[in-house]
Amino acid sequence: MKKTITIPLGSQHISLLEPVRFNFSCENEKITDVDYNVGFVHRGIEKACTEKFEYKQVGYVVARVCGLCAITHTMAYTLGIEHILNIKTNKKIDYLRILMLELDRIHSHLLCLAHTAENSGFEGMFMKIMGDRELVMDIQEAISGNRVQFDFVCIGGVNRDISTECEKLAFTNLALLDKKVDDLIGKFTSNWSTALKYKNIGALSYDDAFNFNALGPLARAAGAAIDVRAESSILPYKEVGYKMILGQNGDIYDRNLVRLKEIKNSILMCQNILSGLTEGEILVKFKGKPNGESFTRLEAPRGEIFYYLNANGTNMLQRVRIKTPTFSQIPGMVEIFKGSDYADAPAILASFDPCMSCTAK
Amino acid sequence: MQEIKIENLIEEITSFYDPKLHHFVCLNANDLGENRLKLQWIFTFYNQEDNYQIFWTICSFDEVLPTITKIIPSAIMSEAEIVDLFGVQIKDIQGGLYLDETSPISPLRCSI
Amino acid sequence: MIKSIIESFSNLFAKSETINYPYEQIAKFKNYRGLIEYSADECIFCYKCEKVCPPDAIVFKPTKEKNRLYEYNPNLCIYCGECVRNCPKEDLALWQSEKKPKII
Ligand code: SF4
Ligand code: SF4
Repeated sequence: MKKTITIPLGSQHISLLEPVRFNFSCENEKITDVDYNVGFVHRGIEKACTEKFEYKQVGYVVARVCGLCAITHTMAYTLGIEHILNIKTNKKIDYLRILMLELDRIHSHLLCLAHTAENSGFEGMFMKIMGDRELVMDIQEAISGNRVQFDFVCIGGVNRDISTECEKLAFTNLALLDKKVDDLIGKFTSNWSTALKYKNIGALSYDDAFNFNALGPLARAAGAAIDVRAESSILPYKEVGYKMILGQNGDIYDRNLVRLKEIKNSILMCQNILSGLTEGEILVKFKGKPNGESFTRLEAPRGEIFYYLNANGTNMLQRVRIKTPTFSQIPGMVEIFKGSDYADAPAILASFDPCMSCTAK
Repeated sequence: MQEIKIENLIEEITSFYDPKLHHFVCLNANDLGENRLKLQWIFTFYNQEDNYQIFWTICSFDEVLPTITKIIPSAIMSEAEIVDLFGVQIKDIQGGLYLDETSPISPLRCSI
Repeated sequence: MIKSIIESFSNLFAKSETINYPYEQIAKFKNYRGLIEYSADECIFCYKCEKVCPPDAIVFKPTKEKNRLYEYNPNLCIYCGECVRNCPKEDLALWQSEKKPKII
């Protein structure tokens, strides 16, 4: 007699944000094996980048890989192509870029927390966090002129300068958000439905974090100091007050806390940048066509993203390779699922913050 | 950057890789045309700034490549991806990550 | 426990978080990126805007006369503003307005 029963989760499921399909083989309540299918939204962006669009336009194309980390994708591409073209940007451009990256991280983390709350059955909290998230979205909208697709970064600099009104708005909203995040930290440490019942659920051990190449908050919650912001000198993160935030147990509870504390750190960084911004050019002129290859790593909200570019001296790039955080974390996620209860699967999945449009490109 | 032979791949990576020290970024493939495929196994070092270790080799599309998933489990995604997008053969790795029967076959391969 | 009871009661009388659209207008930020507008009188027909546009939203159609005809597809446009930045007569021949496209 067959002992296991196969239960699918996805590709459409009430707890899922994105089209992904997991087939869980369960023995009673326990998950024993997991099969995954992640390619539902494959759009062939890598091919389009090399055949349809010129290198100056690719930045706008890769922004469409993912709506949440649009700015990170453009940024990684831009840094890569600037490396090939040998463009040196000034301090002001770097700071404006970090500002947008960190604002992006704040709203992405808030979205993830909102979904963790929703999957724990706390609908009101979901609404509340999504409401708070508007504060950040407003800042981004005021700075870049659009709500989701910012198109803020371009080769050689940024497209818009920040006005005094934006600065004021950013300061007030960030201060407001800071208080709300403090409040949320309280709720995510003491509330039964969002915090205490998630202790020791979906845990990734410190060793497995390294064995499975875990990235981003998933790894940092397990205590592994893995963060591209600390390992790369492309953007001056150390000057703006970056701090590595680590958890201990690698369970859902810790992942939420790591995210919340990172939001606090990001708010601090944004405030530092805004108060230290100087006058200066926002665009560096450049000439010539790219020739050569570059490897770029950048810390997206969910972990490391990696761009490989190869240009051969024409307007078209020869190869664009995008590696996104969720893509390389799938084996790690599968490992966490094995051995946990089926009933916990949606909550565990939400706490990973998977991004399928990134994964399938 | 370090060039390796495809036969020595497993030994080279086994002797180099230590999960606590090295981070496997991805396996990258690049079609150079004329049945030549450049493969790059990209690693970085934890806690070191901008330090890459890249193993590269050039192979043809007819070869059956070895898999490194025994050493690095998370490499399975990169390998399945290039099986799909380039149509190379990797031992024990099946395609079907992104593409299904009605999709174009190995879309990232140049036609030359 | 007591804290959360107080919080839930105060929430009963709090202002609503959402906006009662269409009766109340949503505040727009300054310099919102909207439709691209064009003036044929000022244009020097260098076709730079057509070349840089990523989704080919601006196309110059050949006509019998010397100058081609500007055609703009607001539904293809991603409002990146790249065309305006590349136009030699920025703000005169081509500029970005704050208008929205019509809903057909
Ligand atoms: S704003 Fe961007 S997409 Fe729209 S017409 Fe100009 S270049 Fe094209
Ligand atoms: S770039 Fe400006 S001047 Fe040139 S064709 Fe376009 S609108 Fe006319």
